[in-house]
Amino acid sequence: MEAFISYDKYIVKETLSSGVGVPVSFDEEIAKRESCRRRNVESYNQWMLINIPDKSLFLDTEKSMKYQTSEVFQCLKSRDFIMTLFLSEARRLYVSMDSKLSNDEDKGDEAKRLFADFSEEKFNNVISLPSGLDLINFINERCRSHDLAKSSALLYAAGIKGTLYNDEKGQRLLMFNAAEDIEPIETRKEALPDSKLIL
Amino acid sequence: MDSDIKTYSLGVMSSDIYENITSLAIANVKQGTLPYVKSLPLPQDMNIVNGRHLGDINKIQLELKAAKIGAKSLKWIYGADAELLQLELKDTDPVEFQAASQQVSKGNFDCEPVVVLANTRRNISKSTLNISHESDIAAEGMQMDAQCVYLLDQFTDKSIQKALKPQNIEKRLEMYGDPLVKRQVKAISQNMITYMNEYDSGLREQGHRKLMRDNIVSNLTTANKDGSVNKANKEMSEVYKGLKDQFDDSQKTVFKALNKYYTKQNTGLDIKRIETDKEVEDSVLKLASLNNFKLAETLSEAYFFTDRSTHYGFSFDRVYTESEQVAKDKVLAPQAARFMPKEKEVQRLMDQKEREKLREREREFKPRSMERERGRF
Repeated sequence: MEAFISYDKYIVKETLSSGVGVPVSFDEEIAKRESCRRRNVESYNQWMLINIPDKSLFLDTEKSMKYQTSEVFQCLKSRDFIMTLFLSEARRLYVSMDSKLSNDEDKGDEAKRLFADFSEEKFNNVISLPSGLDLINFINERCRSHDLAKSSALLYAAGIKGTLYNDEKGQRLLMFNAAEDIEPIETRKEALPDSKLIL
Repeated sequence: MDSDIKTYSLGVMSSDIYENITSLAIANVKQGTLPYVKSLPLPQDMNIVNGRHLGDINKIQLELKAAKIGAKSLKWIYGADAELLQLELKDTDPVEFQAASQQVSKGNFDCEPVVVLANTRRNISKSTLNISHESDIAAEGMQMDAQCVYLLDQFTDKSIQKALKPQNIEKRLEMYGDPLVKRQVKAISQNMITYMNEYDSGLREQGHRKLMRDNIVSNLTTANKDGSVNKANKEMSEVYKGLKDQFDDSQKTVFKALNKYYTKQNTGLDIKRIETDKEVEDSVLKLASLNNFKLAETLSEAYFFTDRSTHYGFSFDRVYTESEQVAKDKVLAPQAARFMPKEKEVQRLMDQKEREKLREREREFKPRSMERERGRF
C-alpha cells in the first residue's frame, strides 16, 4: 500500500496516545507540510513515497474491538500474546495445575484444554473492550513500567504493524517499526514557500 | 567514458588543488554559476556517511565543483565508501546523465571526482595490521594522502534509492563474508538516511548554529557591558587589518563578499553585500589571471577568518562557549616526580619549532565535527 512520510518523521519516533512510532499519512500534502528546511540557505523539503503493509494489519483506535479486522483478531488470538499479557494469571494456572488434573490419564490433553479455555476467556475479555485505544491503555496499565514503547512492542510482536488514528489532518497511521515495515520507493524534494524554517 | 568509481589517486601534487580552484572559478564565472554571488548560499557541505563538514581549503574546491556541474547540494562521499555501497555513477545510465546535463547545468555536468588532500601524512607503518579497526569509514581506514570525493548528485538516483532500502541492505550483506564489513555497510546506509535529512533541515545542528550566531554578534561589539574594551573584538580587528594591508583592491572585494557568504551559510544571519555581483566576478577573474594562486589563497583566507569569528572570544581553537574556554584554560597542579624513571629509553626530543609546526597543522586541518567533544547530540 502506498503512503507518504516526511523525512524528519521517518527518522525519529514519536510518542502519541496510540503508541510509539512514526506517523504516516495517505495525503502527500500532509507529509510535505510536516517537513522543514533551513532558513537563508539553499535547502529543500524532503518527503518520501513509501510502501507499507496492508491497512487490515493495523489496530483501529476509534472502532470498537468487536469491529476490528479478522487479521487483527488472528494476531490477538495468538497464544503468545495472551500469555504475555496475562502473565501472572497464566503462571498461577500453571502452579495450580497439579491439583486440578485428574490422576494419570490424559494429563497432556487435559492441560492443553485448560490453557485453551484460559486463553479463550482472556481473548473474550480483550474483545469486550469498547475501543482500540482502550486496549492500548489496558496493555499499558498491565505493563510494569507503564512504558508505551514496550506496549507497542508487545503489539508488534503479536503481528500488529501499527495503529489507525485520527487527528485534525484526517485519518493517519502510526507505524511501530519503521526500519522493518517501511519500504522507501521514491524521495521527493522541493523548496516549499510556506514551510517551517529553522534558522 | 571511464565510469568506474575512483577510490584514490596517486601522484597528486599539493599545488594541484590551487590550480584546480583557479580553473573551476574561471569556469563558474563564464557559466554564470559562481556561488558567491547567488542570493542564497549553499548549505554547509556534509559527509553523508558521518555528518562531518570539511574545514579547510578542500571545502572551497568542493563548493566550486558543485556550482560548476550544477549540483544543488553539497552532500559528498568518499570514493571508497561509494564503492562499498555499490553506488553507480551517472555515466552508466544514459537517461539520468542526459537529464542531469540538460536540465541542471546546460551541458557542464560531469562525473569526475574532486581530489582532496589529506593534511598530515599519518604514520602508516603503525597500523598496517587491523587497518579496518582503525576507523569506521573505509576511506579513512586506508589513510591515504589524497582521496577522491564524489558529490551525491553524481550518482544515479536509482542506485542511491537501492542503497537506502533497509530490505536491500540485508540482502546485500549476504555477499560479504567478513562480519566487520557487514556491520560497516549497514551502519553507513542507515547513517546516510539520517544525515541526508539533517543536511536540509538542520534540526540537530540548530543549537550549534545559535551559539555561532551569538559569538559573531559578541565578537563584533566593540565594548563589553561594563564599558571595558572587548578583547576579542580588538584582536579581530587587528587580524582583519593585517589581512587588509596585504591585499590589493580585488582581493579585498572578494574577501568581503565571501565573509558575508560564509557567515550566512554557517549561521543563517543575513548580512547585505555592498559589492555588486559584477564587481565580485571581475575581481575573481582578475585574481585567477594572476597565475600565482592568489585566488585560492584569498578564498581560503576569507573562509578561515569567518570560521574563526564564529568561535567564542575569536579563539583559534574550536571553542563555542565560555564554559568550554574555562575548561580549556584549566591550570593543573604540578605533579611530583617518580622515584624511578618509568622508561629506560632516552626519548628523542623534538625540535621546538618542528613541534609547533605540527601542532598548528593539526589544529588547522582537523575536520570540523558537529558532535564535537560533548558526545553525541
